[in-house]
Amino acid sequence: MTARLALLPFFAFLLFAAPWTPPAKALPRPAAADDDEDDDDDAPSSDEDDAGSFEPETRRFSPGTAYTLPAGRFEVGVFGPLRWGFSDTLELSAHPVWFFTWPGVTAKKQLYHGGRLTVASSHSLEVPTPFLRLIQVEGTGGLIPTDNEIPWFLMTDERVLVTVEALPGHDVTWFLGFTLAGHFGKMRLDTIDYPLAYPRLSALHNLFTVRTGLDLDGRITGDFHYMVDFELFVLPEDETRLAFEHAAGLIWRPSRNWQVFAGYKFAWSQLPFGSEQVWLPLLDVTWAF
Amino acid sequence: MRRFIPLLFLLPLLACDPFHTQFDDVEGARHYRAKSQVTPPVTSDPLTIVSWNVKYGGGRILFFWECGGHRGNMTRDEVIANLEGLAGKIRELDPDILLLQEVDVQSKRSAYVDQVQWLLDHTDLNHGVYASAWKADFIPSDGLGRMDSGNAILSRWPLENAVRYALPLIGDWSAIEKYFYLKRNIVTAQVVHPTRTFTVANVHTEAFAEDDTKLSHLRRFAQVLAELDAVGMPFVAGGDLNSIPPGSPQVADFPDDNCGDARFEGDDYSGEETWLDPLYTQFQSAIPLADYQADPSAFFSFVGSDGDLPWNRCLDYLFSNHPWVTGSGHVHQGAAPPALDPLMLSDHAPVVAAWEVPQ
Repeated sequence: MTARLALLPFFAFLLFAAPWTPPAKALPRPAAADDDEDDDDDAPSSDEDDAGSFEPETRRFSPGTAYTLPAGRFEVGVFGPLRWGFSDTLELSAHPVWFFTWPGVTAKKQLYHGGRLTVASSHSLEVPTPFLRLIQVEGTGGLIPTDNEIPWFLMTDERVLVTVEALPGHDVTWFLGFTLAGHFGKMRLDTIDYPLAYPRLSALHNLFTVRTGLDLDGRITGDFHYMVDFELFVLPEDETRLAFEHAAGLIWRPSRNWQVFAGYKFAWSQLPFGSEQVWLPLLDVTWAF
Repeated sequence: MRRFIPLLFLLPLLACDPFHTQFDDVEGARHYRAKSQVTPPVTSDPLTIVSWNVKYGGGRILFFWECGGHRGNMTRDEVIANLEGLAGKIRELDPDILLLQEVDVQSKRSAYVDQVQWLLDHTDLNHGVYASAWKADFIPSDGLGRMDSGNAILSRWPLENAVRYALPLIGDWSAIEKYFYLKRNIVTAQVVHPTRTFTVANVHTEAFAEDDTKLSHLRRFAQVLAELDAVGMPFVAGGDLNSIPPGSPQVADFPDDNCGDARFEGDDYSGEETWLDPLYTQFQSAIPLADYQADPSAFFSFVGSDGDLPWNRCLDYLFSNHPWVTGSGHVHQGAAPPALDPLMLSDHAPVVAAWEVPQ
């Protein structure tokens, strides 16, 4: 019992923050500054290239952008998903740990690249039911009451991402999308009334959620980079219509194969009783191979 | 490295109060006011004092922590229906001062209905004070979520100088249990009565401790009352003491505890028979001990279950440092239709007595 209780804060963090943590944002580097690396997967650089044929170093560690990983590259974080450059314009990702409790895959397709502009679409298909049932337990860790009936849910997240290289080495990404969810079977599911969780699970109760956001990524100096993001959730409910999240952090990337992220996340949400905000520390280590 | 990262996340949780569950040893209580004020009657008649544990407006729903229970959070319709029953009974008893225990003000389990405000707005009581006994922005256990539940004092007349006195936590709980779980208290307030200001004290002492935490709560309650008495302040005090009077016919193996699926072990008051002695000897009980011992079942005020069992033990009390109107103290155990049966409104029955404001 005590051991289970001791794990509680970590468990809560994993639940609410980790799956959606933006641990390692785009770290665009000017090609000229990347002279210490020998990229087997480099392709010729050209502003006029078609989708997928610009600097691969720009596309590393770039989950929040319209960039896709170079073909054949894998990246995985302690808390972040496993991402795979299936081709130069298609990236697949899934969370290696969470997949077994919250099965889901995401495909990001680069649609256009020209000049400083890159456009992509992202498509996720998820089945949250096993996880919801996992947290429907008596006692500690029970975030959903045991008298709830949890059906099989199918949830999809669709978005368009537009990344602009605002300055050399500094990218701005805007995205717009929606989450859609349906279920099979009888449902009686209480909401989890806490920032981070409430807006993300809202579609299970209300069919859909609209999401839009802005990511700023770039190099500060040397191996140090920054990430700042903002995200707005618009929910189809009368009294709990909005949720807002913001994260920022510092990234240390000593090589092209791994990086450390440290930062914070702020989340505010309208909830059934009013509104609430929460600050969380963020930390992640990402490896690439 | 992987092993240490989670520990880093624990640090801020331990260093501060991220879920806002903590209280000072002594702090103010929250004031309430009915939306529309009802003018109190101008009379020298004795005041009607009522103490009632209202089970957070749960009526006789059997919750997951009870024998045979499985329910989690209530719907708003369920809460309002139960509150209408409670308010109906309160209007019927027509108290001047009402002591409430287990009243929710912003809890997920009771659909976030502010029950103190709701009861003020649906009875002839005008003013209230409230002190949380269980408060957290989010409790990650049993789907409880947000919780704010506690003790309240409702009055026809204005209440001043409301104070929340923290009671000790159960000693053998883990740190996380202490952080998230009950923070019991005594709440006091001065009633600005037209003839004389007096104090009301309301308490809900520990029910689940296996150590002497409940005894320390009872001692602290007696101490607070003794301090009021020492400065010459008249008071009425009471609440759910989770203790049975000396001379009770049964101290364990109550029929409503006779199951294997309850979250808590059945109540066993063995060895606690003298714990209320200081209150009985120092102050005046609305129900004299001799009256209770002559006919205990007439004063039983609690039974678990879904209402299919009769009241089977006395846990609720009223005390004062001034005399009660002789023979007025009783437990409102039942009522013939069309009056509402208190057995179906909560797992506790209201304790009622008449008290004259000292001149």
